[in-house]
Amino acid sequence: MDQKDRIDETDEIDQTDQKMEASRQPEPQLRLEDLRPRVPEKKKFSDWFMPRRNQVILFDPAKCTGCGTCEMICSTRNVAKVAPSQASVKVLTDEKLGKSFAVLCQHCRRPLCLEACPTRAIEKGDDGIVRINDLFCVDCGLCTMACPEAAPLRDPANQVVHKCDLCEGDPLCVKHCPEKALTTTRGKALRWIKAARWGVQALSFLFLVILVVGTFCYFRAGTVELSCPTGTLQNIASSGTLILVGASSALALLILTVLFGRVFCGWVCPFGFVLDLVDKITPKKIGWPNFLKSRMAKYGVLGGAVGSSAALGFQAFCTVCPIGTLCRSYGVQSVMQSAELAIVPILAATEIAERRSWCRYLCPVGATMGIASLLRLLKIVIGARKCKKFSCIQCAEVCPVGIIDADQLREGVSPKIPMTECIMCLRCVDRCPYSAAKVRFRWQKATPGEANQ
Amino acid sequence: MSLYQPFTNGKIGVVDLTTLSVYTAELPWDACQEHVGGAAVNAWLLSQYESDTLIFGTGPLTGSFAPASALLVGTFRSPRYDHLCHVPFMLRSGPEMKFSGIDYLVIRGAAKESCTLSVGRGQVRVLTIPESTGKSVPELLQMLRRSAPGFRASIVTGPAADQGSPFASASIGSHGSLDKVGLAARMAAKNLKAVLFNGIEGLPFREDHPALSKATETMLRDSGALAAQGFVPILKKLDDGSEAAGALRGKLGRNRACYHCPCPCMTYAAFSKSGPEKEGLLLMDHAGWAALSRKSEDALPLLKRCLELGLDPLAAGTGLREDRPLREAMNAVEALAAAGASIDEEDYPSAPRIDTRIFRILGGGVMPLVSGTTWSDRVAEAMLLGICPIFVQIAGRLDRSDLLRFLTSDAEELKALAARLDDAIQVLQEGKIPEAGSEF
Repeated sequence: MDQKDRIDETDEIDQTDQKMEASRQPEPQLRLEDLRPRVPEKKKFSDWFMPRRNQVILFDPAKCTGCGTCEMICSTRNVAKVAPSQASVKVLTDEKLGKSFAVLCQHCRRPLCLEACPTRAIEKGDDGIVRINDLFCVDCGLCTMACPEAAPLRDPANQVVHKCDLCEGDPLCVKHCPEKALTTTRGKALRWIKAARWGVQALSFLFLVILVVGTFCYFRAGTVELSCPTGTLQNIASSGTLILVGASSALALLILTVLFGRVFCGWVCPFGFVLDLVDKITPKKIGWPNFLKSRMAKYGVLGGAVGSSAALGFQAFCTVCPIGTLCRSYGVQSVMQSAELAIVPILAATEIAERRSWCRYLCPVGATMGIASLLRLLKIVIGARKCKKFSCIQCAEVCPVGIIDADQLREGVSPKIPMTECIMCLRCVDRCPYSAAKVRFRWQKATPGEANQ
Repeated sequence: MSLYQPFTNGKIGVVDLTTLSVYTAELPWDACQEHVGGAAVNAWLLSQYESDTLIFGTGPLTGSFAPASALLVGTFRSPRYDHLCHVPFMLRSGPEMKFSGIDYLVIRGAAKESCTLSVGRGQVRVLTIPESTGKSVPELLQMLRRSAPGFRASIVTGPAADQGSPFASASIGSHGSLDKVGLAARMAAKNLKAVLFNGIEGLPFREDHPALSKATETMLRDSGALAAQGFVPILKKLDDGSEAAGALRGKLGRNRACYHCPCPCMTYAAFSKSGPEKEGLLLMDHAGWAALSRKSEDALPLLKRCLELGLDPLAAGTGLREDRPLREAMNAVEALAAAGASIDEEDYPSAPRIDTRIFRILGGGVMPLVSGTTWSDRVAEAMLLGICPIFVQIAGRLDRSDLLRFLTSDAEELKALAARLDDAIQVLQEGKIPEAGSEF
């Protein structure tokens, strides 16, 4: 071999080394932000006015034909192959009932998979998407067990856990579903009911408490007479006579309840308004012991109020009624006329335990309305088809009287709402991003084709 | 490189049930090129082995982004007609077979005891389950879920096949199938109760396939081809279909589609909309339902019994006398399944305006929604490519080039492939076992 050949050979080796160097992929480097698991951000001040609306996929089982197109298209993104078993969406078919279901991540507001992950590999971004950080995932599969939907799926071929990441905001399964059984939504943004309710409550307070003294217990404007039904009951019991004028004036509120449910409690009651305001400033709720949480207690209070009035010969409960006290004790002409107003802050302090504790467990006026609402025309239903159940639970969180069972939602069941306890504040209807909570006539179904509640 | 390599595993599983031996071999690309795929490659493989061999195979488009790419073809020499027959299996059986890592399954010989084949991860396993003999289809499936858990699709036979009924019909899971030429009897002769597929592998795809698939679907939707969906609209296209459709009034549930099919042609029927009889069954066999509903008002329970027994509902409907009470009709069905009764082949209905021999070569169960040679050409084309033969009839606007575009985008290759497809269709319709062009 001569000198020139040796030089050529050395050049070749150098060039090969350079090529190998160039082709070598850089090692993935961990950065600080990779190590810090991302969790849902706390509510910002701006969210009160314009809530964040994260994208979710809605599934309509009535349209699904079980063709599996979603699985195949999902797998192309997951593993760059057509491999339905390795998709992040799974179509299950009940062959006997002939129903197909798509199992996919709901990107819960408070993801249980995130809490279950021992390596903190699951994170929820500001965009609401729950992702698995592959750098940390050890494929232990705890997330698959923690998820009520079993949405994180273990790839049977490679034993790797996959999870829907909404294709980073543009889900392929939704685009390719031939029957449009999969759609995306960001929910509704309009919260006009909230604004309207606060407005009505403030006006009612202004009218009943500030402008006109003694209005709630008995109000007369020309030929129109209105009176508190519970007060009227006590009046009848204490006097032993049925005064038709008083009884008929009390009926007005009861008829309102029959027509619309306990709207008085949710929209008009001045003490309810006070409680709602106190609720805004009270710290985290501590909760009542279970033995105190009987919703039947208020009926006992009502019975006690009527009984004691009959025994004592005067409207006994009215002397401590927080609604009446507010209306009687405070006015334009008389400021703090009576020490009885002290009952208001005492009862309002119960808000520290639970929202609207007084209304839930003790208020006899609410009990009277509750009895009247047995004949109600309206109801609130949570449609099983639209409800996102465990992934949302917003209706249960906003319900001031706690009658929407969050546990049922966590179990994947749309709960029934006991309408005798519902104060028709419509917070659930207002808050539900998927329009699952709706006001319906009592004989109507939640949505066409859905089981009547 | 072959045209089909991108969506083919390139693997054949060969099972000899006599010796219970299994091996896998490379798929010969030249034969694959020549015979295109699906039923034609099945027939070529059959030419390489004994005449009682049973072949299951997928087409080059099976499991791909082509619409309704759900087909799996079973090819064998029919014991009833003594010529080559190809039985189409849809739902998810085709893709599951392909994703199990095997494209063609050759089943030779006969086992001494009742056995089941399990295909997955590119391997075939023989499971000897003697107690599976005589079990009804739902019972058998339940037993198989314990013995071979995790399978995602299955082709099974019921007691009708065990008892030697010539009218036994192989079933996709518990739903029945379009087997009307005796594939179940061939399986029973081999002591083969079931073939299970566990498709957990995947195959790479061409980048433009998703867009092509969406464009094809949009084209079909715009042309109105996908407007009539469900079991009943197709049933009504049969000669006596309107009457048979009337028998389903008030019993229909949701529609069901095969793998990646934009036009569901099956529908669940419920025995009753409420109460304990809320459960129902999937209607997929148009001819079978028409035959049963013509003879009895209790067609739904009779169909259910046929599916449990693994009996061809068309044969059951043909063998029944009209307006018998349910109990007598059930007894007649049981007798047919037990091979204690028979029906003349001449009475066994065929499709009007279709050559009976070709109709039977192509499975005898794909009802004609188009007439004459169009039917035989389209169905044969579907059986070669791996597309549902019912869908290609529904989707009239979907022509051959639309399907072949999923195999190649090159114009020259497309032309050559179309020519080979023509040849293969002709050979398929003749029902001949092709001469082996290459050694295997």
